[in-house]
Amino acid sequence: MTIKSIKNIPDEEILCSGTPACAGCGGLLALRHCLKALGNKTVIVNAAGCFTLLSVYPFTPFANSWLYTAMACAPAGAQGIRDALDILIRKGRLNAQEDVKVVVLTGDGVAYDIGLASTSGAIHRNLDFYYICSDNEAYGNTGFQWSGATPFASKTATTATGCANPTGSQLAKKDLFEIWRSHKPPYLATISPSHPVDLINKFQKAEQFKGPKLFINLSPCPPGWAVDASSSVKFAKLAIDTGIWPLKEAIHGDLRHTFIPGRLKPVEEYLREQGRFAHLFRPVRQEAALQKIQEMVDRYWKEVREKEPPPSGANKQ
Amino acid sequence: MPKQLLQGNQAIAMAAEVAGVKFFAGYPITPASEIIHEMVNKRHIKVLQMEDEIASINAVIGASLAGLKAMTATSGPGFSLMQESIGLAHIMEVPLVIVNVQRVGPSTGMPTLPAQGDIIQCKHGSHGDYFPIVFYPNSVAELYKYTVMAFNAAEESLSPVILLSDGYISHLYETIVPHRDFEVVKRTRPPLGTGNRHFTGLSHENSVVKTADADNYRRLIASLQEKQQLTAQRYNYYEYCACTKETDTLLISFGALSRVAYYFRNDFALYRPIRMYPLVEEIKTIAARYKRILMMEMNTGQYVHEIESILRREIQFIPILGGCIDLGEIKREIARVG
Repeated sequence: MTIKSIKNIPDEEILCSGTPACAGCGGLLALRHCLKALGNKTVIVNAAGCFTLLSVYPFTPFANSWLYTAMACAPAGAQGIRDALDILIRKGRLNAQEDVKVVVLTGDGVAYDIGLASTSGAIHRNLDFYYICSDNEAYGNTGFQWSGATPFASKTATTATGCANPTGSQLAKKDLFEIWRSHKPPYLATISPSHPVDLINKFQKAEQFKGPKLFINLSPCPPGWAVDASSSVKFAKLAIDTGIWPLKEAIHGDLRHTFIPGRLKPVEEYLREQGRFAHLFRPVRQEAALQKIQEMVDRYWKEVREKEPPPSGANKQ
Repeated sequence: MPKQLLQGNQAIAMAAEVAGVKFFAGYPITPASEIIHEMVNKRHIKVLQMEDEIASINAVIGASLAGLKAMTATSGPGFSLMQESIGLAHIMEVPLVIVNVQRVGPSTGMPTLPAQGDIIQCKHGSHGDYFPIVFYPNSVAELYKYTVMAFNAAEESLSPVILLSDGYISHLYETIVPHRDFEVVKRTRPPLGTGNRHFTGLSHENSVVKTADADNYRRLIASLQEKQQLTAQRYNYYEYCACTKETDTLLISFGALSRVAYYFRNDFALYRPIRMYPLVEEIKTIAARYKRILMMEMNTGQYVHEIESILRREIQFIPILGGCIDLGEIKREIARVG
């Protein structure tokens, strides 16, 4: 059932307070809503990342079960769980009412880099599972090193800025959404902690599908992005309003944007207050890099507007 | 040369530059990440952050065969992922350096406290028979020195050489004099792409594949073993401290733990292997002087079996587990076994 307002978000808290995550973690904000939508009958399969720190049983904020896998293969762990549960249900050893949703929860390092092959295999096998990728655009848990999700010009521990490399990361962010979409999974979406209604509705829509249901959340990361912990939602929203993080979904590969901004804010509004992009503004303004980022965003939305003219009322959150 | 305050991992990166490294590929992992952090700031070294450790070691193999001195750095979980390709680098005779900054395992263990749990993995982690050269220093100055030695040994042996460290030593800050006057072994083999040579993981003789020739395979393994032994003899590094008083006990330890062993230098004789593999033969003559041999490692007993095997005698063993080195606990353990 589609909800229209944050008032309709379920009250029940599946993710309890008091986690060891960093203050203002954008991934945790989104995860709280994801779990509200999924309910508490889930098993989370996690590979090394920031959220690994959450599950230190019995001091865990989760009201569900948890499996940790090797970094490269969380979806493979999910495959084993799903198959075993299906067999137990088929043999009558587990009541179908007690079945749980299998949810892979990883960061972008796993999703974009080391675990990409495992996810590809799971989608290809049409594994009935959810995948929530908390994308803070670097390896946040090991000191904010570059990952395949790191955007062009971001400073990270391994794309240090200096005389030799004034711009930071030279590579553009890998388009994981399109990589996953090419597998034509039943449901695939981007989400944001600043748009919880959109987030909840996407999970509810996904529920009707059997097979892979994949979500990528842009997770503002105060320590890594060098922003104030109170500003995560602000930056999540700016990412959407500037067009840097499009909210979209794909059903069996058919793409649709769930929010098409009427008029994009300049990307500078998103970039200039983040420490990881500060070198683009100080000591010398790097016009070429800023223009390149703006052009990438403009090119993307030009194509979107040609294919998907915004329906009336589509911009309401 | 002025003194510098350096972290262990910084010293490794600096020394690698002195040794002539031109290519680094790695993947973030605590407590080894500072090595890649340092490397990215070096202008004349190509540094790549790869998608995982399997990619890292294979990029290093490619770069090395194509003519560049190359290295990677990781910790236990990444070292485990590299194992298949370490075997590949041995059979293809690829000179490269792997730094393994050990942490508590198995798996993620106690992130990211130090341990010495990868000793056996260094020698037997990959399938098949191979004969690695492994160094394990115990200070920032030694990390600096033995990084250069590791590159030299790799070039001389045409094999992957492992430099072991641990979370303590690599994260330790010490003042050292970073000399640059080492004798550096230069690359002599022509780069891949010249001379129509094929490098393969299959059993071979020169570039010719011989997958069903048992005699050739035996010759190949014997020649690899002999080559490693011959090279290792030039890197016969260990530390032996005869006790200031008369003692019947030899205390053996290495890496971070050996720094605590110095506390007992007035009670016991001390032995510390620096070249872990192949084993330093001098341990036989040193051990013969003592009735009792005591050994401690930050694992449940890995290197002790190697020492027992070479000495053919029983050793009293003290495991120091949990990433914690506590002098009081070590004293109690020594009293318990003794």
